Amino acid sequence: MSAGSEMEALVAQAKQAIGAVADLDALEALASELTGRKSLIAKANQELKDLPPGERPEAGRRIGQARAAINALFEARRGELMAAGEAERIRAERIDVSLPGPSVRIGHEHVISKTIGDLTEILVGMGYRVAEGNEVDTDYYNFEALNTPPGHPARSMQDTLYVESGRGEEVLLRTQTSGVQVHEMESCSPPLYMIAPGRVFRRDTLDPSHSPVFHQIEGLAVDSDLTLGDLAGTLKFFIREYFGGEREIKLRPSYFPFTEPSVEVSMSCFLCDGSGCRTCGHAGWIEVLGAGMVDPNVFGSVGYDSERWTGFAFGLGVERFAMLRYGIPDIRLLYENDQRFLSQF
Amino acid sequence: MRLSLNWLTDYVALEASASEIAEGLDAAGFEVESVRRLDDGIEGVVVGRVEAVSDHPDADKLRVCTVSYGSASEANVVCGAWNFDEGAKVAFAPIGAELPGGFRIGRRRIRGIASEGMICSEEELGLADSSDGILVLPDEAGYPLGMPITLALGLDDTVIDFDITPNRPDAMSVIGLAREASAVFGSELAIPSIELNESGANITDFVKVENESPERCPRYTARTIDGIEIGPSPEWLAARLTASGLRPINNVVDVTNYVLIECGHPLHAFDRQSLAEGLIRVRMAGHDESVETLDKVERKLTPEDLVIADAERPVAIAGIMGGAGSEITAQTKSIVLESAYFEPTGILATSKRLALRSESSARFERGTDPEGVLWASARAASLIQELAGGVVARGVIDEYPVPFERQRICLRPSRTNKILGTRIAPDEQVRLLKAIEIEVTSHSDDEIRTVAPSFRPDLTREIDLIEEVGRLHGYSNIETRLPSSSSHTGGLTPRQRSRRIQSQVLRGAGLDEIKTFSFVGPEDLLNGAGKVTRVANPLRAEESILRPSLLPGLISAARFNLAHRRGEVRFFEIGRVFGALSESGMPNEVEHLAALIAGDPVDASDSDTLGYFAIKGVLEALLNAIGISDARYEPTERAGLHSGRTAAVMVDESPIGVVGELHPSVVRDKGLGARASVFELNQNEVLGRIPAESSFQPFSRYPLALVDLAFVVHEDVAAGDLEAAIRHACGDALESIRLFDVYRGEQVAAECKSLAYALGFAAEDHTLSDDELAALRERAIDGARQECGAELRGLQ
Ligand SMILES: [Zn+2]
Repeated sequence: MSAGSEMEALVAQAKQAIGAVADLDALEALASELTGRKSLIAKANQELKDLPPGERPEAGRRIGQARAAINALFEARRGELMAAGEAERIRAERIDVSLPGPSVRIGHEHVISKTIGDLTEILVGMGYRVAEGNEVDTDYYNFEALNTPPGHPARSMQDTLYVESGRGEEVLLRTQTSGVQVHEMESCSPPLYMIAPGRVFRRDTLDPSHSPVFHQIEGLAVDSDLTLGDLAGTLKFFIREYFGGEREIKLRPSYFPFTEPSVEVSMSCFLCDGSGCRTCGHAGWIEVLGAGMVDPNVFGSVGYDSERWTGFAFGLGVERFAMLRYGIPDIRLLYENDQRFLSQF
Repeated sequence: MRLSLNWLTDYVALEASASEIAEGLDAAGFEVESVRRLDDGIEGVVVGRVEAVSDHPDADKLRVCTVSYGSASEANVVCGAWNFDEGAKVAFAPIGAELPGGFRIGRRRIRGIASEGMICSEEELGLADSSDGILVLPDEAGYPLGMPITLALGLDDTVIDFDITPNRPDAMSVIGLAREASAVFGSELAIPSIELNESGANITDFVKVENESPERCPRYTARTIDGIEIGPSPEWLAARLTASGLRPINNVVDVTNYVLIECGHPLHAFDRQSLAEGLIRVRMAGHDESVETLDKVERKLTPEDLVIADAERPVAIAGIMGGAGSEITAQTKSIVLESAYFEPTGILATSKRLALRSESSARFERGTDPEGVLWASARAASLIQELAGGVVARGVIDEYPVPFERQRICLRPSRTNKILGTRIAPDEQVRLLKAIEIEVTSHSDDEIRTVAPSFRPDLTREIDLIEEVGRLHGYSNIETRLPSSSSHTGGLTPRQRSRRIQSQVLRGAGLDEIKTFSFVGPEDLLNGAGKVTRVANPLRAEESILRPSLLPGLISAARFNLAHRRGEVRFFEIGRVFGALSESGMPNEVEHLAALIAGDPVDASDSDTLGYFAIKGVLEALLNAIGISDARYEPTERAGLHSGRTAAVMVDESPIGVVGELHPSVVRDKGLGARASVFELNQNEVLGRIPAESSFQPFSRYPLALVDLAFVVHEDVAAGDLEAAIRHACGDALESIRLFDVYRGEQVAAECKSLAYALGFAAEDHTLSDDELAALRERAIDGARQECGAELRGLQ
């Protein structure tokens, strides 16, 4: 038998054997048997040196061709068996895709923080920076510098909680964030555009609409040419950003000691569009915040020249905004921290 | 302030409807709370007479009455009120009648007796917020039986309820609101003229006034009326008082109340016979003085309280409430009528201290009209004379040492437009000011000179007049615009941005944010908590201490949730806490961030999900997220925490907070389930240490060589210290170190543990050679041995 036909026979046998193998492990074992060091091919290769020199190149070429052919057969069979194995795995690994994944719990932001965040974002976009003040402050910053000296009737509008400080009724839990205005004006010169979100306190009993602790956002703008028209425009823009572009606003003359003129701001009801519903008490309008032009006495107490600068201030109740926006009926829900409430926002 | 429209239109003719009037006044700054027809909801209620009264056979507190109410109509009703007898005229609701709130009267049996209707109280008719008994109509009024009660009581009226701002005492009166309405609707204001017949003896023969406290009582006037006959007020008067929310009492008291509501000036009538020596002395109270007020309460006074006294004792708390001893009774024949101006802050202080408020104090404390004193007095005297008879003595005592000076104010019309953003012509500004009785003495385009009326204590400066012009011009007529300046940009501070990241990380770790009150009660403090700051005037003990920590609030919230739902709670809060008072008298106020994990683990065998390492993992993630990667944890003890599982969180050798498990007794007492762990950080320390900005750090691009080493150390050696020792020994070549196993047991000595680390080594500029790697491994082993006494496991 010539070396050529020997190799052809070898390839034919290999083809048969490879085709008969059913799994990858057996295939690899066969590969080592047919192409490894002890294989017939390896043996034939070793025996090349025994051939006459003239026959060697031809025999070597035939052995190489056979090896390449066998390797190709292995490669093809390997591909077939892997595809078959994967197809089997896909059949075996079929799952109920409606089963839940392992629980990854994501917590919730408290609706008060969320509301402060949303409102702050709007105001920051309008060019206000965010200031922070202390919750315990002195009578001076909470009242006196805000044009509310002792004995002023406006003081009885707010029942104050005092701190046992050994200084009488000097140290208190701030009743409004307006004091931050004064602190800021004392440390900065105009123009000034700032807001101050924060906690405030009143000597109130907790009920569905009152809480001894609540949050306000105070806004203050001081510049050379600000008017009541700027205040109205600012609030209209702000309210529309938060409650929707169709809201109209209405200013009613009101009274706060530290602004004059002072206004109470209402917006057209976002539920009934002004036709009257339960949320707006059938008035079509909802009171949302208090505001006004900064009183010259307040400028006086921080050393601003009220002939040169004018300004406006506004203050809003965060809980009120949140309760309106999300339809929360009772302020107590905001401080009860029931998970069933917390997880809604 | 409840305003009767029938009354209002006595002074100003108005074409407008009730709702238009309400809207117009609201837009002028007088907030309307409600507009209500007085007969709203009353249907079929009539005047009736109680013909017979007998005891209910089966109920001590009930009586059975026979009521006639018109031609041959009679009904038997069971009634629980006792303030009437046979013959009383009452408001009777027969079967089929309807009361406010949609309550329809039906036939009922009460304790076995048929009741065919109802005798109504003012409360049931919607005329008062509460009633002591049924409404008894004055006998003399002579209403025919069967007359609709809405007619008899003058309920053909609309009442607008206003919330008057404290700067406008003048608007707490019918005339004050009529003046505003006249300005808003352009209709003339007509104040009633007074016809007063003084006769007989001079006032000084009856009464003497000594004002010892002119600072607190700048003006005191008195009149006397003698020979009066006390009786019920006529229907028109009673109806107006009722509409205004006041209860009719008798003709004299009712007149003083009528004038109070009419012009806003409080008056007081004393029974002259009860005044010792016919003397009125306006003075401060003595140290141990007290007075029984009209509401039958004994009031202790202090030397800061102004009283009206006779020669012996206080007979009234000035401006706030009269004394029971000098009250007008059915027997009163002679009265002293006081009309005074009291200094507002004094009234406010006394009223606040005594927690005693009245229609009178509400006006004095805001500032009444010092020049309106005599008008009110004359108006009341003439009405008393008309309704109760009697002789008004000649003259009036008027103690008024320093006459009031009206405020002169200059207004620059240009300034008005600068503040309001308007273009209101100077002449128009003058017109608006004059419409509310601000006197304009001269005006040009540059300047309007004015004198403020005496009833407007709020007008003292230019800005006050600008507000008047603005509100009468109408804020709805002001053009809105946005500030034009572009010199400012908004933004958050780095602290504020970091706080947002903290919240996001904690939520990502499954914690819900909560908000709790800033006060706690003594029960809430964890035992051994340090000095606290207290609230001086708390309403409840639970709100008496400023929270020194966020943990009590987190614990309460966890407890609240675990009480009705078993399972786990995972909460955090960011907020201010308060330490002890500093020397300045201010508490040390700091922002904290705290978190809590508590409850019963979902898998009962695995309480590690609630323990120290569970919360510490959250804390580490939090600190990493804001750029603090070098925190160390040192064992510590803290009130309320588990002493074996609590660590101080250290950064740069300073404590920035604490992390640990709650003490088992706290977990048990507070009902927190199997285990609870917490951390609390001082945000000043945390936010202050956040790197301002990170910059690029070069990193090795060559393969990382991993070396596993297990060390055996004594139990006392903290893993954190061992890790630090290895880091220190290996230097920069150690790119990562991870603890992957902790072992205690047979294969290591007693009181020892095995800690296994995976060390990752790399060089910046080449692949580490085997020799270099071996040297680094040796350095790690040497360092661990020298600093922590650690032995390589398997080499012992
Ligand atoms: Zn509505």
